[in-house]
Amino acid sequence: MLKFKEVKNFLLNFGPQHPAAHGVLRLILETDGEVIKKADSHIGLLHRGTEKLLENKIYTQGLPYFDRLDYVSMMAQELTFSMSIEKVLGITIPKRALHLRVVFLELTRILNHLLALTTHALDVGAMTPFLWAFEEREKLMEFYERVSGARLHANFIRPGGLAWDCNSSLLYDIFNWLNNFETHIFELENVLIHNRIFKQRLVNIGVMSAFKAFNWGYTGVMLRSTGIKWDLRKTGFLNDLYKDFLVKIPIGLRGDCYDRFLMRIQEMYESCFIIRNALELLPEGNVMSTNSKIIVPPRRNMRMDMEALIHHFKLCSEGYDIFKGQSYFALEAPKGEFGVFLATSNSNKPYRCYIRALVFFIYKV
Amino acid sequence: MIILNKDHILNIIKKKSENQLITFNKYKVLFILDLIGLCSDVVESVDLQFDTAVTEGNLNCSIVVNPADIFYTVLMLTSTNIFGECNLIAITCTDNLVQDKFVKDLDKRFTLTYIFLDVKNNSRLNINVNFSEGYMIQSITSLFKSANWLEREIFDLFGIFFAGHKDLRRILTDYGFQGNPLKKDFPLTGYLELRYDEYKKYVGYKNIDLMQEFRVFNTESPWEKLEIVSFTL
Repeated sequence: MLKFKEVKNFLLNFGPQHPAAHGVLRLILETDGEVIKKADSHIGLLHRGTEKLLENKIYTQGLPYFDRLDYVSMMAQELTFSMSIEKVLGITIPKRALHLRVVFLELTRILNHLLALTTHALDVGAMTPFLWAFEEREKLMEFYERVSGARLHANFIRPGGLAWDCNSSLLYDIFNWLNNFETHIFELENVLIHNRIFKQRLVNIGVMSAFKAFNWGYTGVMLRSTGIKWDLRKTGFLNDLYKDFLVKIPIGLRGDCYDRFLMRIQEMYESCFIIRNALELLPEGNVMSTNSKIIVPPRRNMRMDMEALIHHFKLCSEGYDIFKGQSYFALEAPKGEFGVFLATSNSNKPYRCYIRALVFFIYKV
Repeated sequence: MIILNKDHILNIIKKKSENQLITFNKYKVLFILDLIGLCSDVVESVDLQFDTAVTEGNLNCSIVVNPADIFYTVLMLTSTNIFGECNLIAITCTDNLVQDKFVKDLDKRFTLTYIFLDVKNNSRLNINVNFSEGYMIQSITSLFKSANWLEREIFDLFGIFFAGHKDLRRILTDYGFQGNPLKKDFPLTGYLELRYDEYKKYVGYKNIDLMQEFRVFNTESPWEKLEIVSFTL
């Protein structure tokens, strides 16, 4: 006689101390044999209450928090916060500052993609690209250090422009580095792109349709891999920033992991192209807006000018007020649309600052 | 604002559903929502003040909807393609408790903002909902899967309940956490701190002594205000 026995699915705890979870992600997995049937993710292990902290800081003090949100795309986040304040206040930025912003935004994109691609390759079994990429990342972080004094948390892009100008030797070095870097991408690509094992583990894995991608709130590379032509660098939001440079955007066909891998590689080439363009067209001039009600005056003026001294004191002690209202500003960060929602209330602190985290949307799936 | 009659707008909707090539108009969404009686107020001023980068064909505006109608508004937006390809970018909440000193009418304690992006027309629409504490707002998880975690986040940080959400748990705060940290009457330090107890040899939560009651400071500066030049459209 046959006996039926009810088989229960096995519940498994993954993380947060698992090396692949980095101490920030915990999954409760329901497994049937080796197949995961259900996953419940607990993501709050790294929540640091940044939004609450921002409500208690003046706008200038809030800026460094944006570096620390995602420590592989620092400048993109600074830029979003700075630009959202600029849009609300209606400040215009000098041309040179815009170009340098583009340069550093694209450097950040490369920094991020190098990490994303090669740690991914490490997870599926290729160690070498990881080591190569980290050498290049080290050089990039050196540029960060030379421009701002910090390797990661730059605090370089401020509302109104940049903290200070870059010297020409740095720009020259970036230009030289680009030439070498393109060959490095080519090497990296060569190792992985036709690798049988790598392809076995990526092609047709994590396939996402366009409809699903919309429904899940995807942006950035993840959305583009499904074949949708959408990049904030191309659209009106950032018109003044990118209109001078020819931005070509790679778009995926199948929406799988391999597509996204190829797109990220291609985006790095494009970033190199944009940086080179931006550097070649770099105009001379100021890097900070001259609106003295918002921007701290240069130190040499403060020694000579009473008004500058007062402005410095007022801006450094109580900051500037923004009238009541709400605004949303988003920017194409390396991982997708990074947005800042600001609700202001006639005071020198944001009344509410919502930060649209990209991975929040992607982790869900 | 331009004034159109009802028949005209109904024709627009019909045409829209038949072929999607009608060019996008800034006022179309607002009028259609107005017609159906969903949109109670158009926050035109905010839009005009804040958006310096509006180009033609783009809609960047925010509207106010009754809290009871939010589900139908979003349903209208998605199902009739009034707003093109609808992508839910974010849902965020503002606690209006100390917006102007203290809010007198607690009917508007919370403002929920739904931010939508239309990829096809490159336009954005914010839908605002004002409601009091304890109001059950309807969940839109059946329309957008991305709303799931967003609503959980708001439930966690603001204590707002969403009717029809199947899995409304805390998401960002610690296991066993109490209170809603982004409410304005929640202190920045919180009520508890994590500490190592030398005698008992374990790490545990201890109460924090809060030195003073919750107060609101007026930080508005008497210093001369910034002259706003570039807000004209």
